[in-house]
Amino acid sequence: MDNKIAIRQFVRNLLAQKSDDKPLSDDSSLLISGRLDSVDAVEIVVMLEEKFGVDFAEIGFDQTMVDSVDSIDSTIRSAQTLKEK
Amino acid sequence: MSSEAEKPSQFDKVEALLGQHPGVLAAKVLCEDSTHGHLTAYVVPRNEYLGAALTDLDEERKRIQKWRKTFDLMQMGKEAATAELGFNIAGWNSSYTRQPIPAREMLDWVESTVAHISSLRPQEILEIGCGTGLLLLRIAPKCKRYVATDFAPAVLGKLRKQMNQIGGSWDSVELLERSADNFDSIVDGSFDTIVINSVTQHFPNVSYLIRVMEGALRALRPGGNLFIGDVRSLPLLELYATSVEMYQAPPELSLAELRERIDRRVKQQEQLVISPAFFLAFANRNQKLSGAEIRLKRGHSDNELTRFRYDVVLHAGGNQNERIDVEWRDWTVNEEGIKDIRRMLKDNQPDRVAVTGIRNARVEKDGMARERVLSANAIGTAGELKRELEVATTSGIEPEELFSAGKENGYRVELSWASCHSSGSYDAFLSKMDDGSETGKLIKWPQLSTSGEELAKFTNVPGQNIFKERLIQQLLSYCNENLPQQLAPIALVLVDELPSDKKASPD
Repeated sequence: MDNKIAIRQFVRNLLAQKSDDKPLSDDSSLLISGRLDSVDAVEIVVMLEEKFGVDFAEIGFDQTMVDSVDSIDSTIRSAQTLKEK
Repeated sequence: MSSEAEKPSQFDKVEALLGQHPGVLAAKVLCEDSTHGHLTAYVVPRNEYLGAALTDLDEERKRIQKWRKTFDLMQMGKEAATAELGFNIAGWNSSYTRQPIPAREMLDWVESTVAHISSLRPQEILEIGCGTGLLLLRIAPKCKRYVATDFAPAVLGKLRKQMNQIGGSWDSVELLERSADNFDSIVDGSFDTIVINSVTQHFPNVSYLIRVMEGALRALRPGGNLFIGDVRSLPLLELYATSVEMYQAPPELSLAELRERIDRRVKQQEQLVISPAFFLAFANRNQKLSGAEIRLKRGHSDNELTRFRYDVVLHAGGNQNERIDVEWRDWTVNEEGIKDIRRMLKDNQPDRVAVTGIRNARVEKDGMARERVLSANAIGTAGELKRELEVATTSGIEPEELFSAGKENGYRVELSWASCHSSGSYDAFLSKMDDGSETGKLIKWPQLSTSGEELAKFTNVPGQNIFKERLIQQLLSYCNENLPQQLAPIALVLVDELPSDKKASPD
């Protein structure tokens, strides 16, 4: 299951709402670079909780965990690994 | 022949119909597609409608939940885990650098706010939105009773932990988890001081703000004070956006592009930004209050908090008519510097000094940048503009220097932003401290007139993009329902100003 397709779509949507049409690669910084703000961060968090069952209360939260398509993807994988334990 | 004369009466019909809609301030219809005869409507929206009618409680709840989540998330990170006891400033990031605001600046901010509230001599406080207790932990020990509310559970959890770690008795403190508009079990008139500090910017809209303020007023006893702190200033929103975008602009960015970025930042504003006029109008319309004092932030730090935010004190008691009339002198006539003022106080020892329109040194260069960016022929780059500003001569006065000058010479100093100038200029009133007759009496400050205006006019509309989309759809449906097909506009654009006639339509 390639979650990155859904993640990329979601992030592109957030960027589009800010009229940001600059290129997006999987390792582009989203929050730390300022392309997205804390309100967008919350959108990403809510999406991860609702769609991928990530529980941030369990794994803790740090900006870097959702700062790029790649890091969002690995956050999902760590959360799922934790569940399987 | 003017195009006005050729304009068919059908356009008037469409414009008149649109004008009847409560969301429309002005409308103009143009035919920009002469091949098909398709009409485009340009509409200047009524902000009051955007903010109030297009939102619903569900929307409001979602917005509040998002903010709650943001605050809870801030407490789950490294910054919160390693926070100094009694000084958890996790999440306080600079808009300029997107990095945490330096701790010493946050300490300055906390201490100035504590000093301001303490000067009101609180005994029984209600604090709405206490957060991690930056104020509570410093003020509660001096009070008989301190009720503190916050809507973010993780944040209250951190506060409780800190109170336990600090130890001692916190019997006077009661923590309640609830949103700001919840006043259940709060007895009317049971507090002499109500504090709403750095919270208003997270309210979803102006109606919510009004609800919270009305609840606070009910809880306030006669003679008490409502302190609303760290409010983001609406008249200074464009200056703020200019300041931040200038800082972040790559040197080669053209001024035209810089201007677009500034406009976008203003339009995409998610926080509630409020004009001092809101509080002046609110106080005016409420018998219980004798007016609103609009105070610039104290402090020696130079950041977005001291530049673009203010505190408000609303006093329950007395009345507007008891305020002292003062003769004001216009600062812009002589543009005195701080040295002139110091010398004048020392040598002449006047009973009082009342000056309006003092240029604000804190935002003077932001103002210069704004003028350049807005000018008709704004050519050049951001880098060139920055270099120009670096060497520009300034004439504004830093507010703290007025306080020092007053203190050194035995004068009480009060500053006000009630005039709501978009340049950030302020008014000052200095009175000799041994003149007992005027201690504690409020004066009549120059202020923006608010009569006849809806309160909604004095705030922005957070997340207005969604509402604008909704309004467009609503207006298009409204036209389709009430006009024959060939007259119903095919497109509708919201604008700040109506366009001039571009083309006359064919018959």
